[in-house]
Amino acid sequence: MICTDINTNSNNDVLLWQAFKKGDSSAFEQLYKKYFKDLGRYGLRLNPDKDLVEDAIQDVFIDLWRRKEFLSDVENVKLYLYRATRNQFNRTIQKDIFEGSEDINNFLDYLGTLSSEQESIENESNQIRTRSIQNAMNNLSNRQAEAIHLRFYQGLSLDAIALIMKIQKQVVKNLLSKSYIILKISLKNLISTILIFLLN
Amino acid sequence: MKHNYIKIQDFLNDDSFVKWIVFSENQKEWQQFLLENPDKKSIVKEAQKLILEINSIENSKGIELNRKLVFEKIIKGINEEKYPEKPTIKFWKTIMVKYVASFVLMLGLVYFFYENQSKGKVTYKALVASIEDENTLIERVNNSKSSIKIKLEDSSIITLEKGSKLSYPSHFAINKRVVVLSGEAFFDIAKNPNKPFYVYANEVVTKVLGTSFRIKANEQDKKVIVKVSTGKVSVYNQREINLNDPETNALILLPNQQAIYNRPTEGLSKHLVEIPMLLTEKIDKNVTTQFDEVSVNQIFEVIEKRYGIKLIFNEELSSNCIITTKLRDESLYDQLDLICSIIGGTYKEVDAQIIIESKGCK
Repeated sequence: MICTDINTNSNNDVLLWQAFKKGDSSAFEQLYKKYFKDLGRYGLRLNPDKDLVEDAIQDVFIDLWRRKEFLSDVENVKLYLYRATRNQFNRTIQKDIFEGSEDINNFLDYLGTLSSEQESIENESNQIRTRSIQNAMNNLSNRQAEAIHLRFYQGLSLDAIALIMKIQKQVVKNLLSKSYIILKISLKNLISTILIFLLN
Repeated sequence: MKHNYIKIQDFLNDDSFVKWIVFSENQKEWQQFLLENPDKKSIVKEAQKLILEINSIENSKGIELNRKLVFEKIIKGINEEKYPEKPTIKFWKTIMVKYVASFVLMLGLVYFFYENQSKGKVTYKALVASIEDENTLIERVNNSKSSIKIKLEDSSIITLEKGSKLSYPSHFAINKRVVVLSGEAFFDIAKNPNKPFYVYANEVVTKVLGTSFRIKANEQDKKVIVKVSTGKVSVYNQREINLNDPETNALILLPNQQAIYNRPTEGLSKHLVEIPMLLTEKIDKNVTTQFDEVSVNQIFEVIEKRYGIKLIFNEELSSNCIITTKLRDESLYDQLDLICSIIGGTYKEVDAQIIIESKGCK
């Protein structure tokens, strides 16, 4: 039997999950290693406090190990871990961070500050664009940013995001399209700022 | 359906599209779509750009999280919470519990003793940890009843014996190939002079450019053994983990030779393997193995070539020994036994060479 590299398909995940449920600690460690980085990035999207994120991941995995006999066979391990991480945040943080408002007032405030960042315009425009998106991301509501992260960083389907965020698929769509509008305005605004700067 | 897409949102809301950009899945489908709909090219580009930018922004985060530390905490957390603090006073008074408690205490002492003893040794775990700083490793543990074959990305093949484990990177570094072994394995390493292959096994480091050899390095054993089948191998030992290759004091091993590292005495020595094998690729078919009335010196020289082993003998004395024999594809030692019985000599192995002592023949 010749085994090539362990690849990232979910088939392998299911095998690891089954082994882990039977108490295989190396399977447990492999799952942890495989998902730590992505769970960490998701966690940081939910809450920028590094220590809180590390604590949440720690608790998720300790809990996982302790309850392994009672866990069912999941088809999508990745989804399960994301949900668990999210629940962990809900549990540890008194204030529900997912109750963020969806209006774009924050964002409009942000647009007003853009002109004061004109010094950055001397940089290459691509760099500005990236930074601008980053700033716009910061001005999305928590839920919008979470949806955007799950969609475009983790590459999850609309259905999967709905499951993780415990909302209807249609609500996911709404969150995303609002985010697109905000990102788009941000980029347009950037271009006009550049123009104004050049004309002056 | 996607032929009707007009806005960038339409693409961003398509799962298959997102998976194409993020994971390079559904490649064919979308390339086909672009071929058929060249007018959609610019909007697809825009959607692609947005996804990639968000992706790279999110990707730049999380570097500051400490994977190793968090895992240590997890292990600690699991061990601590194994026994929930529920025991009532009654429970502690039962005699059974006292027995169990003393047994556990004993176990603890044994463990403590063992831990202390193993300190100062280079362990598999420590090696993996220090290599993981540079590169993520994949671990394969052979829990089955037979050996398993592992093919690495450079198409080297490693046969991992049962109960052994091997850690290797999914992608090797630019300048070297590094793996960590605990237990026993046979290595058939693909040739690549620009990327030496290192096997770390306990305190012993084996470095090759491309060859085959076997390593036996169980954590609890007193010896680490490296046996060479083909090619050239250099072996050195390290008391502490140092991945930066010193290769000073390295032993050079040739086929049919083995290095044995004695862990208690920290000595590394070179020997012949127990059963030296014929080096099939070195055998010259034109050289006869049937000798009639020839000097034993001539036979010794042929044997040297067939096994790649140096025989040391007194040429003057043994030149008088004229014998008739046929060399077979059998063990080297059986043949030496036979010849020595004819010439009335003895032999012994010293430093992976064989010294033949004989008083000569009259």
